[in-house]
Amino acid sequence: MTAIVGESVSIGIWAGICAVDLYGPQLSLWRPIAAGTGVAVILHHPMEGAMIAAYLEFLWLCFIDVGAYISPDITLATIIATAIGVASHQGAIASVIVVTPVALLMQRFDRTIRNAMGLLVTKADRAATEGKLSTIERLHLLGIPVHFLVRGMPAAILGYLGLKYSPYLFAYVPNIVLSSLQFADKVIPAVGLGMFIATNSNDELWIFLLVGYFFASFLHVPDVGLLLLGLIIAILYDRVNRGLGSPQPEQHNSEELV
Amino acid sequence: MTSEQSELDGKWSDDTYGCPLDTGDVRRALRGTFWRLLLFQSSLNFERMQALAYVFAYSPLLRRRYKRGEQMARALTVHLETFNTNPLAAALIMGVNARMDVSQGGDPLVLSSKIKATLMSPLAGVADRLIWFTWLPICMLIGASIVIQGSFLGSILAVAMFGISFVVLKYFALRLGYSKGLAFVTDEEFRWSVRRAGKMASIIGLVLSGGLITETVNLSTPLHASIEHTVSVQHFLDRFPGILPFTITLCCAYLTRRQIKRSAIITGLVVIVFFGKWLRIL
Repeated sequence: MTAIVGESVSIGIWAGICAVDLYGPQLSLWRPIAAGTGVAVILHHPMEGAMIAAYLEFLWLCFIDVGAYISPDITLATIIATAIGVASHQGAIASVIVVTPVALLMQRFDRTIRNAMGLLVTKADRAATEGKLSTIERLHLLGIPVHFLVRGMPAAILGYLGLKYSPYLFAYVPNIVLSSLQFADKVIPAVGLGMFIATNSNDELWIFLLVGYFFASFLHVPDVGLLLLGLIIAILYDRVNRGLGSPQPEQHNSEELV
Repeated sequence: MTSEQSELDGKWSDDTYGCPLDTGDVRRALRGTFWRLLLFQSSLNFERMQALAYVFAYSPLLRRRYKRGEQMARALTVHLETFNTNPLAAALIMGVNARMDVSQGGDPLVLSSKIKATLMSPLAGVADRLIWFTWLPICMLIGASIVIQGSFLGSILAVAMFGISFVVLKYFALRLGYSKGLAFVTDEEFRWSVRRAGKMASIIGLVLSGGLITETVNLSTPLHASIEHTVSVQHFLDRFPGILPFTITLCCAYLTRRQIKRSAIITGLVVIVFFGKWLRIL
C-alpha cells in the first residue's frame, strides 16, 4: 500500500518534470519514449516499461502541438499507460485503450489553462505601462509551477488508481481479445512510420524509402548504419542538386516591412 | 523599393554607425537571452501566445538598452504584442532584434515590431517542419527501434540526440540572427540553405524509416497453401523479406495522406489483427 503511494507520488513528480520540459527547454523528455521510460524506472521494470514506451512513441510519432493547435495529451497518457502496462503486463495497446479518455480530457483542460493564462497578459499589460520588467518576468515564470501541478497531480492520482486496480482492469476481458491486443503492439509501429513517411515524402523523395527498405531487408544494415547511409545519400543528393540549381530568386518580404 | 525603405535600410546598416557589436555587455546580454530561451513556452496562452515569453527571454537586452522608466514602459508595451512562432525561429528573430537594439541611435521599436510580425509566421512554418516533423521523429525513431530490439539505452539516446541538438541549434540561431541583423530578412542564401537542410533531413528520415519498418513492425502469416503439396505462404513471401510489414506501413502512410484520422487507422489495425488472429491468417 505505502509502496504504491510512494510510486504514484514519484510518478506525479516525474509527470510534472516532463510537463515543465514540454513548456520549457523541450529536450524531448515529454515524448512517450522518455516519459514512459521514466515511469518504468520508478516501477522497477525498466525493460518492460521502456518497451511499452517505445511502442507508444511509434503510435504517436509526429503528434505535436503546432501553432494554436492542442493535441491530446500524449505525455500524461503515456505515463499512466506505462504504469498500467507494467502493473498488468498487458502491453501498450491494451493500456492505451484505458487511458485514451485521459488524453482527451487533458486536451480540453489544456485549452482551458491556455485561456486562463490570458490573465497573465492583462497583468503584464498593467506592469508594462509602469515599466516594471521584473514583474513581467515573474508572471512568465508563474507558468512553470502551474504546468508542473496541472500534469503532476492528475498523474499521481491516476497513477495510484492505475497501480491499485490494474489486476481488475482486464479481468473480464476475454483472452482472445487480450492476446490480439498484445499482438497488435507489434504491428503498431506501422502507424507511426506511416505518419512519418506521409509527412516527409513527396513525388521526388519517396524513392529513398525503398533504398532504406532494400538495405535493411536484403543487406541487413542495422539502424545506425541506416542513419549513416541516409546522411551519405542526402549529402550526395544535395551536391548533385546544388550543381543543377542555384538560389531561386524569391519575392522577399522587405517591402511589407516598411 | 520605396525611398522610405532605403532610408531605413541605410539607417540600420551597421556600416553607417560602425558601432561596437561584440562588447562584453552585449555578449553577456545575449548569453542571458539564450538561457532564458530555454523557458520559452511556460506562459503560452491564447490571448497573445508567446508575448510574455518574448519579453522574458529578451529582457537582458531590454535592460541593457532602456534605463529610464518611461522608455522601458514604451519598449515593454511594444514588445508585449502577439507573438507566436517556433522557439528556434524565436531565437533567430531575437538575434535580429538584438542587433538593431545594439546598433545605436534611432528608435528600433517600430522596426523591431515589424520584423517580428514579418518573420514569425514564415520562419515558424520552416522550423516546425524541420524540427518537429523531421528531426524530432528521426531521433525518436532511432531510440524507439533500439528499445524494441532489446536495449533500454535507446530512450536515453533519443533524448540526448534531440535535446542536445535543439539547445545547440537555439544558440546558433541566436548568434546567426545577431550577426546578420536586418540583412537576414532579405537573405536568399539562408532560405536556400534551410530548404536544402529540410530536404536532406527528410531523405535521412526516409532512408531510416524505410529500413526500420522490417526491424520494428512484426507481421507474418502462418497460412499454408496446399494444392499438390503444402507450401508455407510466409516462406514464399520471404523472397521479399519484410514485405508484409512494408505493405501495411505503406497503407498507413497512404491513409494518413488521405487525411484519415490516426485513431481510425489504429482502430482499423486492431480490428484487422483481431480477425486475423481469429481466422488464423496472422
